[in-house]
This record gives sequence, structure tokens and C-alpha cells, in this order.
Amino acid sequence: MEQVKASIGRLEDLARALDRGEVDPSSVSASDAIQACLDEIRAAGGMAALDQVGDFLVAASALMHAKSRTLLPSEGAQGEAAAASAQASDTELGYEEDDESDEGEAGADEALIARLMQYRVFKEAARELAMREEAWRAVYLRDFETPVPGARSVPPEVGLVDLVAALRGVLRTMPDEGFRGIPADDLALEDRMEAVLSQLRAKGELTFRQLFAGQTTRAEVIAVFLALLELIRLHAAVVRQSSRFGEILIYPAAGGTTGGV
Amino acid sequence: MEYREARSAVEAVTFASPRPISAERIAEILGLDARTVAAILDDLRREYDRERRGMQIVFVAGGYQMATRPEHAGYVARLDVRSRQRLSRAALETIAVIAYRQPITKAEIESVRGVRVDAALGALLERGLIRAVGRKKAPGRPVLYGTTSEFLRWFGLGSLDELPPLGADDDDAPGLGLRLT
Repeated sequence: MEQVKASIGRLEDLARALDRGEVDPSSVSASDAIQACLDEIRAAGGMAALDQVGDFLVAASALMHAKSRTLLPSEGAQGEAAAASAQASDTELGYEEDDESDEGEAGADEALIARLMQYRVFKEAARELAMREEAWRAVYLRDFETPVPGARSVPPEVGLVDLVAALRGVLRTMPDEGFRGIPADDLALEDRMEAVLSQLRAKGELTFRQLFAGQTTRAEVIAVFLALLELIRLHAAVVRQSSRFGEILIYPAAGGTTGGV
Repeated sequence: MEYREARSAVEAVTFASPRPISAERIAEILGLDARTVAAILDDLRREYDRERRGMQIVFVAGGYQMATRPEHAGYVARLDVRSRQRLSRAALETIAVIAYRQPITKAEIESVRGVRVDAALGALLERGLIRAVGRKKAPGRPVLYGTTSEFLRWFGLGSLDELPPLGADDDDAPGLGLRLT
């Protein structure tokens, strides 16, 4: 019992020392200290009182908190590192560190600081976007996608099974080429995807059969079909049916690109 | 075409357009020049504001579009219209990274956010706010993502240039390599 108490006391002391900056955080293993305390509690078996287990949890979390805080770069350190990095880039000189390992550590610290600062910038941007989103939610745009009386209802979506069945239909109309050996790989999927997408963008919608117009071999038909599946997977194309058992229609996904490639 | 008639026609075309419409496109339809149409649209927007009409003409996603006034949101919401759900914090952070750094791969987004972004990307793709815009010429040819015009509509932006400046109060942040495409 007393040993458990002493062990918890050590965790508390360690957390306080870290908080006051009296010990080097890199020299303290929080997990070892916590594990030692846990071992004491286990050794005490059912003897450890409930309030001691509670004290352990509080002390262990305080230690974890103190340790994690000391490991993160402080505001002051960020400023210093920023100034140092600005100076380094101005003069195009690296650090003149005495010790190689110090240099590596400084580099790692700097990388972490840069990453955290970059994340902070985007977090702030996200906060501003959230404010814009909130303000803009109160504005209803004249939008023809909103169901209006008499408008055609949204056609049902098409599954892979329907697509494969439709593909079989297209393949049946193709001449049987027989086996002619393994052809060279001249059917780049990416090119087919680009071709399908530009066709969709130009026409707005295509029927499943229109998609394969102009394809003369079964391999070409299959390449176009795979391109279609890839576009659906990337959410670049949407496939719907005009009505139950109706024609399969393919559309470019909502929204045009605003950013260039 | 006399001004009164042109003004009325510009209003009709803007109302009937299924998506934001540019002054140039309206000019083409009505056989007017774009400057006249832009002036008419400004005139209409001022009139709508002056008379505190329930409608306004907004400039969003590169074009003009009719919209309701925000103060009536409470009433409009009672209609059976689709209202936009708020994006989650993860989705907002992800789309912020994409908006300012596009075109960008999933791995690059994850390196900025420090967490996996599959779910957030899925949600953004589902809503049509981002799309695959190509593949990076790098090992594995990873997909590059960019924002869509729906993104601009979602946040009420006329164009990407209207995005708030990145890290406006953080100008001295060195070497972050941030860029606005």
C-alpha cells in the first residue's frame, strides 16, 4: 500500500519538475515511470484502494500532459527558429553547430515547427471558410437542382451488375475476332479516361451505347469500359438510368474544375 | 434594344439560368456588349438592395445568379428545399488545404494535416466540392485533386481569387511554400 503511494508520489513529482522546467524532458521516460507505478499497483493486488487508483490516473495524466507540452516547440522557440531559418536563407549559410547530432536534432525540431506552423495557417483558413459557409448557408441560390413541381425526378443510380450486363450487350454486337495471340499494350487507360471525359463534357450526357460508338475491337470496348469504371470510382462521372429498365446514361460529375492541372 | 427592354431581358435570363451566368454569356444571348450587360446587372443589384427585395443577384463561381436574401433564411428553410449540411471540421481543413494548394495529392494533404484524410476526401467528392483533376507525374501516378465550381458556390466565392489571403496575420512565417494557384 505504502509502496503504491510512494510510486504515485514519484509520478506527481516528475510532472511538477517537468512543468517547472527543472528536468530535461528528453531525459524522462514517462512510460517507464507509469509502468513502474502500474507494476506496484499490480503487486499490491486487491490491496490498492480505489482512491489510490484514482490518484494514479490523475498523476499519470498530469505527467503525460507535462511531457507532451515540453516536447512541443514553445511560442518563443518558434520565433527563434523562424528568425534562425530566415537568417539562414538570407545568407545561404547553414548552422555552424558543434555537434552533428545537435544539428540533426535542430533540423528535426525546425521541420516539426515548420509543419505545425503550416498546419496552423490552414487551420485558420478552415476557420474562415467555416464562417463563410455559415453566412452563405442563409442564402438560397436559384438552383435548378432543387426539385420543382413537374420536374423530372432524379433517375435511379446504376450498379456494377447493370453495367456489366450492358457491356455484355455491347460485346455481343462486336465481331468475334478469334484468338490472335497477346496484343501489344497500346490501350492506355488514362488516355481512354481523358477521351471519355472530354466526350461527356462536350455532350453533357451520353447513353451507354454512344460511349462505345467508333470502337471496332472487343479490346477497345473493354478499355473504354474500364476507363468508365475508373471515372466512376474517382467521382468524375455519374451513371444513372433514364427510368427503371431504361437506357443507361452517363454524366460528368457535378461541378467543373476551378483549379488547373 | 432600348435600355428598359434590355434591363428586363437581362433579369429574365439571369433568373432562368440553371447555373451562374457570366455577363459575357448574357451579352451573347441578347446581342448586347458585355460592358452594357455588366452595367445593367449592377443597376439591377442596386435596385434590389434599395427596395429591399426578397431576392438579390450575387456574383458566385464566375457568374451572376439569383439568390434569396439571408434575412429570410428562416422562412425559406421551412420550404421543402434541400438545405446544405455544414462540413465537418476535418472536411473543412482538408478542403482548405486543397483550395490553396491545388492540384494536390492525398499524400500531400495528409502530410499537412498529419492524419489520414480518406473519409474527408470521400465526403468532399460526394458533395462535388472537389474532383480528380489529373495524376501527378510521380511514382504510382497519384491522383491530383482540385476544387470545383460547386466549391465556389458552397462558400459564396466569385472565384478562387476571393479566397481569404492565407495566413494574413502570419506574413513573417518563413519558407512555408504556400501558394495560391
